[in-house]
Amino acid sequence: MNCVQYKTAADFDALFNQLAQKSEGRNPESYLERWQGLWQRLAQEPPEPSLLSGMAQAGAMSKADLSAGLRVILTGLSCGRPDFSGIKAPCRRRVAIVAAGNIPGVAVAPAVAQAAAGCPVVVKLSRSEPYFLPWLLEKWQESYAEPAGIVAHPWPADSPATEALLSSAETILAFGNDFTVWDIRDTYRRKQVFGFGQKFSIAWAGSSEPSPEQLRALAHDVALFRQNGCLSVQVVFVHGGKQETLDFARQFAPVLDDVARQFALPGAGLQSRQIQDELDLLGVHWARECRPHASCVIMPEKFQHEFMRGGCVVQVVPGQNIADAIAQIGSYWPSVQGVSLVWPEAGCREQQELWNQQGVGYVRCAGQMQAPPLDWANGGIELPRAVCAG
Amino acid sequence: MPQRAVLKEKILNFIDASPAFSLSPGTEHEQEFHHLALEVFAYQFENNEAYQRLCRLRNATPETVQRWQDIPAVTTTSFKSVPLFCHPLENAGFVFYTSGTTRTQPGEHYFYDLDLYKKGSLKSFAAACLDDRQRLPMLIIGPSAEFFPHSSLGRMFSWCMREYGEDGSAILFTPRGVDVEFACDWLEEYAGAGKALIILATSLALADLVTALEETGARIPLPAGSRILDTGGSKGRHLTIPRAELLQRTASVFALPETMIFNEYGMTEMSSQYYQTSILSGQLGADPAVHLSSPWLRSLACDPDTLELLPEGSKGILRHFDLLNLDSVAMLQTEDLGQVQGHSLILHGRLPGAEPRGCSLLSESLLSYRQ
Repeated sequence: MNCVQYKTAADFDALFNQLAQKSEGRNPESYLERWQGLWQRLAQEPPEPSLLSGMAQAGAMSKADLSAGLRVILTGLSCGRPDFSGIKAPCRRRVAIVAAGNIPGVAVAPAVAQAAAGCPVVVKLSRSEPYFLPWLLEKWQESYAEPAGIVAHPWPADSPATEALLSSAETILAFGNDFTVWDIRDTYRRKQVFGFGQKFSIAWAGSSEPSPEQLRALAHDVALFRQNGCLSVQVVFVHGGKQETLDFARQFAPVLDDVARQFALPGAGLQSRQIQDELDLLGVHWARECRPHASCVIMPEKFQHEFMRGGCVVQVVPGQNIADAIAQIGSYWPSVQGVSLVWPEAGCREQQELWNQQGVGYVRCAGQMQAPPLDWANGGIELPRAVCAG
Repeated sequence: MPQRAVLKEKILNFIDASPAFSLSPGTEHEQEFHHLALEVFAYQFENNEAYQRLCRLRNATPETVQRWQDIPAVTTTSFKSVPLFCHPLENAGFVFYTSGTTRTQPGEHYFYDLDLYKKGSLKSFAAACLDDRQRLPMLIIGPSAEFFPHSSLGRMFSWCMREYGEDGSAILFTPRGVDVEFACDWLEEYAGAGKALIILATSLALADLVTALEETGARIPLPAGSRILDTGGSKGRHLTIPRAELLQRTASVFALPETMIFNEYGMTEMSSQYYQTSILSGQLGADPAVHLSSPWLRSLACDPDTLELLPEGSKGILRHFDLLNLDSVAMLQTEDLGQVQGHSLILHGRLPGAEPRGCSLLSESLLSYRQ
């Protein structure tokens, strides 16, 4: 499809109409079943080299990182089914998605969920991740006769086509930094806009003696996609006092570095140096385990928002209990997206419920953070019901 | 005489006594640079508390550092989190901010005064961009001190205009962007008069102007001898056109040889600049692809992972020592990739993934173009 031809709102009106027509009679369940079958199959195959090359170049991530990450994402998407209850008739709302490019495929689940509900969906991809969704759409086309009902293209942010697309849409799902989301809300205030802004994730570690498997799983939660995702763990709260925390951090640092090194691009060591420089310049003498190549574990006494930097820099801090961790996060609490649990299996369910009670819907055992299921209510927004019901 | 004043005087004399550009440091200048660099380090170590802390932790003091290459560097990102200034902050005469990035706050580069910055940048600019001309009609389509008081590039552009711009020179760039209509009128007027002129631009502003002209089908052939200087300043926006394409389109719209489109490489954290111009390559016999620095700016390439110094000519991340950064920190560790040979630099862009990113930070802002 030549997306360059779409320039004006009228062009996008026509595109949405065309997609809507092709979605006539779509059965949401069988549509999702096909997608999930496809994802399951793709998760078991080695990623295509051309896809990896393009993504690595555009997104400044290593092929090893992407290769591991795509498998995790596809596995996650293969699970879960969005809830269609309350959507009485096929939903025909014209949905535009503004995708972020910090990690691959942020638009995949919302696009598919909306398309399943019958919505025509057009995705403006980020220039740093213009490959994954179009590749999936290609795979869909190769596998099934039914149209996917989704068009995706990396129109530049400053292209008139982007404005035309958003003007033509009835619903906008905006992924991006808070500023971008605010800007879209403000500009299109008469439309239905759902914003998915900046968030971060934390880990809750219950034992000062975690198993090697748990440490490795947690390291994946930190290091996958070079800690760029909102589900990437930026800070680990260790249930206990200072000594338990230091013990945990010192066990975790070499494991994290090993995983981070596998995923690192050349130059990853500079970020480790940057954080060390800043701490030294500030005269902050926190314990730290900064490795020259890929990662840095810092151990302040309390959570420090300004030292959440990505690039495999992670804070490990003591938390007396969940309430204490939340208190430390303070005004940044609404930005917490998910919790990775490093907890003995027996108490895992209970901890999950405790975090759920605090309003965190996404709580996973360590190692599963980057695999949200298709029905994940990102930001508490249940798609497609939020768009289509009522 | 206070220590700073003595050092400043020495550096000013060094600027006066040095050629604006050369391919490699001559023995005499090399020695002088070396002495000055160690003196600047000693001064910054003594007066910049934060920097001293970092140096001590790296076991580097004026007593132990014997070569300018071993002076500890600070990463340029540190300017975003720590005031790196050799005086109490209330004595800062000027502060320049790094342009918008995805980080939560811009970097701040403090100056006690701008004498060194002005002297160095004017001498480099004139030698790199003006050849034997005293003044040229000058059009600025980039930041200026008038509209962007906290832009270091803007300050330099304004100095250049005052010093080397003919009467009638104009600034046609505001926070709203390029004033395309007036810029075209201005260019047509001077082109019509057959007078060689110079445009100082950020790459983005130049791209905006060229695109606007292309959309109307207009071409403004500039008189022979005209030149354009562009620099990477983007004010937070991303240039999506590859440089080779921008050069080709600019050359076509203005009927200029590509060799008359010059480039400057600099950064807010630094007070000196590199230039890539056909004037310099012609005069010095340098490879036209290289950028050249003035003798008061020296660079090194480092291993991107270990940050160890690499042999001359190797590709690595760039570390610059800028004598003119007297009031802050002279040795800067950047995220830019390049190869250094003497005063020559071949730029290879930025380290992939260098920009620290949080969740969803890579989504382009939709606001920038509406402003």
